[in-house]
Amino acid sequence: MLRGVSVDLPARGFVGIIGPNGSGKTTLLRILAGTVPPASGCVLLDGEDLARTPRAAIARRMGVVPQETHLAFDYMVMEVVLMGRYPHLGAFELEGPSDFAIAREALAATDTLTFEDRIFATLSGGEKQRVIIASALAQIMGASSDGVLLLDEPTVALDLSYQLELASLLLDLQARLPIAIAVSTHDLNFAASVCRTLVLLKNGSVIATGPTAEVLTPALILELYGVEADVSRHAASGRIVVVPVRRAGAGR
Amino acid sequence: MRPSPLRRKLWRTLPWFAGLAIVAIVGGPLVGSTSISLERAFDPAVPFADNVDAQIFFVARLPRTLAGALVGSMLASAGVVFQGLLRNPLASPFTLGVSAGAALGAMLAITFGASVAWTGIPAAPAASFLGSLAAVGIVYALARARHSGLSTNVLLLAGVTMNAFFSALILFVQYFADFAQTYRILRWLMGDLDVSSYQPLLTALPLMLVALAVFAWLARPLNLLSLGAESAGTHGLDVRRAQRAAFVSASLATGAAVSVGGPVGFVGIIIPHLVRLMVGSDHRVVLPASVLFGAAFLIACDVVARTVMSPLELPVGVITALIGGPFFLWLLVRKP
Repeated sequence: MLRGVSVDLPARGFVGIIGPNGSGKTTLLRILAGTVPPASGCVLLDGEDLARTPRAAIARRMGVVPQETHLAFDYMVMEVVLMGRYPHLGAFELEGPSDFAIAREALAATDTLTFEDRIFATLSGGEKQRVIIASALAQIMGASSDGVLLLDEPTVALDLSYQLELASLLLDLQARLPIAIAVSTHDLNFAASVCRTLVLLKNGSVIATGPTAEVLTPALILELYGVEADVSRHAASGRIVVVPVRRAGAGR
Repeated sequence: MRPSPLRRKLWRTLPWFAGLAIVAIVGGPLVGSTSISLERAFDPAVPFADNVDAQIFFVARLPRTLAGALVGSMLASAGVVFQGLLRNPLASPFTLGVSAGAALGAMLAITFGASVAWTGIPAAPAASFLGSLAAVGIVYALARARHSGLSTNVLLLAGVTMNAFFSALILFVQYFADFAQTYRILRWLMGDLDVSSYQPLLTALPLMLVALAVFAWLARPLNLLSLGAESAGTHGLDVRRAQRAAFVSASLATGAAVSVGGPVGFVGIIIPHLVRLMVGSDHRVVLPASVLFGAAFLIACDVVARTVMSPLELPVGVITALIGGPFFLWLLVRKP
């Protein structure tokens, strides 16, 4: 499905993988996460091939936030965040005080500490996502080297205000913690507001990659989506804004 | 260093469940259609051959009570494992049709048993395990085809289908049993703990201990599997290995339990549910609590079965079905 794709996620980088549905965004993210092995080629984490790294060792460096999380049973928020500490424990070891301290720190970082004793299933979509981000943070915090956070289509299930909240949360986390972030998204404005570099994916191939301001151009958006768009800088926020105008060849 | 909250929770909850199980195991043999006294049963002055109390206690009631403990604990914990694995709180050995598969295996062994005895492996528990493994294999294939566990609809339909299918095969096999066996088999198919010796318990015990050992390792992976297979993988779990271990160990527990007590229904659905209401959802607490509570519950049901129509003794499966049927329907209509 993916051909000749090469992606670089620099330390403390923020990379967006954008492209139309079926372009291979989610597959690429799964390959980066190590849950799907690439048919050929490899994923290197600090020069180590993921395919030859134990799963628990990968999990201690890399947290993944899926589109949506449904838990089969009524777990407390704290229990969900502590699951992020499992890869740090021996087979029959229980979470210790340091794991609880890290879990609290992760909850505080995502502003969800007040939910600690709530049942996860009773939270709203946006609150759930922040708790899952906290769980992924708890997973990669306390490691000796920088962590990686992968998010798959994080804005899909969120309404407008949560989308903005998520954008500022991710930027805030990266300002405070030594993490690299990669998101897959089809929301160009979300990508423009958070990502420093973009990877444009179409039919399983990278058509362009580079700093957001350089690759988010009308010409490349036309090539990627077949849509004519205006790209401008929003005066008040200073952010790049993409306004889709019409489908290419739709006349008038 | 302070003990972890989870350790404190284990210490605060498990002794209660253990106490309940001990009360049931000690109290179970004392109750019945004939009243006996522990003092007389353990009186060393009276030889065993003349001590009616001791005979009732050790020969009739104690093996039956211990059978209740073993069968109840296995079915309840297998229920927890199936539920965690399939991410559905309505899964259990009975509702999935796994108990029926085990029953078919055990019936084949009982009816045509002599021919496999030469292997040295006790035929009934082994055949029962193979039967449940075959049933579980079908469930496993269904779950894999559906990726993220089983939806309630698929799970219930699959269970109904499997139960009907195995019941037909059981009737077919029963056709070959002689008339004297038929009554005994019928009672056993209803779920009956009247083992009347320690032998079936001793042959099933090793299988049960293996299953419990795997369950102990599985408790934490089951928490991760509740997140879904993919997330469990990104949390560092070898998902395929955990799923296989869960399927095989839950089959082992079901097979061992059914070989002793027949396909006793609903224990694997009632107990995990009540336990979760009391202790939350962390499988590291739910699993051991269900083992203990399952034992106490089935012994209590058997006491009711032995006394409610005294001197007639009902199969215990009648009691669990009378409690479990309405309970299951309540789970279905309750707000998810």
